[in-house]
Amino acid sequence: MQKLLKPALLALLIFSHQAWSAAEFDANALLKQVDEKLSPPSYEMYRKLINIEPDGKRKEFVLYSVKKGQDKMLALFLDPASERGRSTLRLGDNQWLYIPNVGRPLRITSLQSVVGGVFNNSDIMQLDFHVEYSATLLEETADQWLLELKARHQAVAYDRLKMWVDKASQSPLTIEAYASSGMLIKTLRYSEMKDFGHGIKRPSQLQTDSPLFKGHKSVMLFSGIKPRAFADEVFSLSFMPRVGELRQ
Amino acid sequence: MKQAWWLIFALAVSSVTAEDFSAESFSFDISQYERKTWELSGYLQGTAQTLQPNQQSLFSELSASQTAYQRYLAELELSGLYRWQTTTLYALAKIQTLHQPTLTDNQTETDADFYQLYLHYQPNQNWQFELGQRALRWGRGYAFNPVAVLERPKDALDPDLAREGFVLANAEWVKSFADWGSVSLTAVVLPVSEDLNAEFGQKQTWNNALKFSWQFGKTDLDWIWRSDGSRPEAFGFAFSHSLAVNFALHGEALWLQRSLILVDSNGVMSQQTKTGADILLGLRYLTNQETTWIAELYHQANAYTSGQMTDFYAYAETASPIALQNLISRSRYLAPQAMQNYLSVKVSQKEPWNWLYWTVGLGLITNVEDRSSIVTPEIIYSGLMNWEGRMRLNYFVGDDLSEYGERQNAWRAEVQIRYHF
Repeated sequence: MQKLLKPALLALLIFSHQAWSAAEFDANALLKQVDEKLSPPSYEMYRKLINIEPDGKRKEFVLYSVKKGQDKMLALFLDPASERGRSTLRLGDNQWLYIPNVGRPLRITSLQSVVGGVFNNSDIMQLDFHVEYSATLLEETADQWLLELKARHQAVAYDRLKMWVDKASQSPLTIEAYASSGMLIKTLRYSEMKDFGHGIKRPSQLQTDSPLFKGHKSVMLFSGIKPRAFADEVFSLSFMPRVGELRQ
Repeated sequence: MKQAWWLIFALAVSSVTAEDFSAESFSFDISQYERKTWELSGYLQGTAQTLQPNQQSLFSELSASQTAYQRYLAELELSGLYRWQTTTLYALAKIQTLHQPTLTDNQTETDADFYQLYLHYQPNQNWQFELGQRALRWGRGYAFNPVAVLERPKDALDPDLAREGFVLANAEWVKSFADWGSVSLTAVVLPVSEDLNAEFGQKQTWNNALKFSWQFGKTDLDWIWRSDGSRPEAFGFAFSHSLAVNFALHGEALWLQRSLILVDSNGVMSQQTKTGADILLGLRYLTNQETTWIAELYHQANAYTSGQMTDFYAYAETASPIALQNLISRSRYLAPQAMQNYLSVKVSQKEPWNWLYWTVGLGLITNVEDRSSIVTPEIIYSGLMNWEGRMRLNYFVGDDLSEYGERQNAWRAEVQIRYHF
């Protein structure tokens, strides 16, 4: 009996491992597809961040961003006037901040926040989800997938995400961000599907709230997303003072 | 003056009220953010300072006042650019008015200067050329930058303060490689004559400099050379390196020959010329609670030793104010960092206790040899659209006959309000 049991257990183990691997592969492939729906491989876009305080007061930031490939991103503050001209460069896990008065790019720790409010630096300088997280499928309903995303490395601000994905549009609907302690840090909700042209149809609004900032809310509006090719030199320290020149 | 502060306060309050819209009306029109032919921005700033002279200082007789006094500084900074095809004209100008009501002379002074005015030409992403008055910023340090070989001195108490540039021409070439990061080479020519860049050095000649930079993965490297000209020849090296996602190291070293004016306790002056390296080593650390630590050790090869400062203090005790003033203007004895070894620490906490838009900080600059220090606590609020408020204290701590213990002021407190437009 034991002779029969051993190969059977082994086969079960191999089969279950293969099944788990397949599930992981599917989830990661799906996550990659979600990223592709959100933005083309190389693009420019404008974003407005609105921080809303419990009494309704607002603070708004406008950013112009360009991205190339999986690990190059450059963002420039256009508003408010107090932040105008600041730019942030991200190359993989490395980040630099350029402040006009300081006059030179300074290497900052990749978790450094460059803007106050419920959105933090990782929300602004976020690379594709599939680059920063590995996914597994937690649940599937008739119209949604629920993915669990685990940070691939320490440079990511959130240790774990839960992402609800709409099956029809393959766009994220809601994301819950958790710290390594398991504490819920914030909830992000995508809405307002919009056709940006060039085959890009995606949510144009992202709302965030956080149990850490009770009553505070942040909204990110997306606009002017379009595919665009950039030279690698655009993503160099020398170019940081001139990001604004890329606008057309 | 009180009325002026009330006006600023009223403007701030009205600005907040203007932003108090309904929470759900979101709109985003990007046409106003497209690139324009010209741009203009800047800030208007008011600063009120109280200074307490150090009556125990050897140099108290040189102070503007023997009792606490106030200063009010109004500042307008205008920054503009004009684009024409691939060429851009950049300008940065400052108008400052300083009012010192309790002093008998020079009660109000006004200055207006261009800090930068230069043409920038970029034919493609690999090349850029600049010509005009330009403030270069070389180095990786926060409070100190020994490799800043073509710049005016930096104020370690306020490193982000804009500084006036020199008239120069520079060319930069940049190239990125798929597997080897990016490199850049910058060549600079800075002429000095009676009417041009006279503050750079006495010798009227052409000054040349090169900077080669390599950014590769987690490391940034710079190699710097300045020709022998109005200032001595210098070779520099700078780096910054990310050790972890919340921890980065940086450093600079500059080899050069420097001359120092010395005085002995009897008032006999001499000159000491020495070649050596100025070295900076620093770190930046971000804690899980979003507290940023920046710490730097700074060594100057040819700066005053403890013994040389003791001689200077002995002379200062007996010298006439005129003779002392003459020596101070010719030497570096009362320069911001006159001695050889310093430690700078800056700790800042963004949004402490989840107070959105508040930042609290504590700065410390210590003379390692005589253990005297400048302690700078500060609090910043930036929650009102385009307004920023800052309160800061510079407190000088040290024994008698120590660098910061002998400073002319015992402390300086300031309140600053800035409006960006």
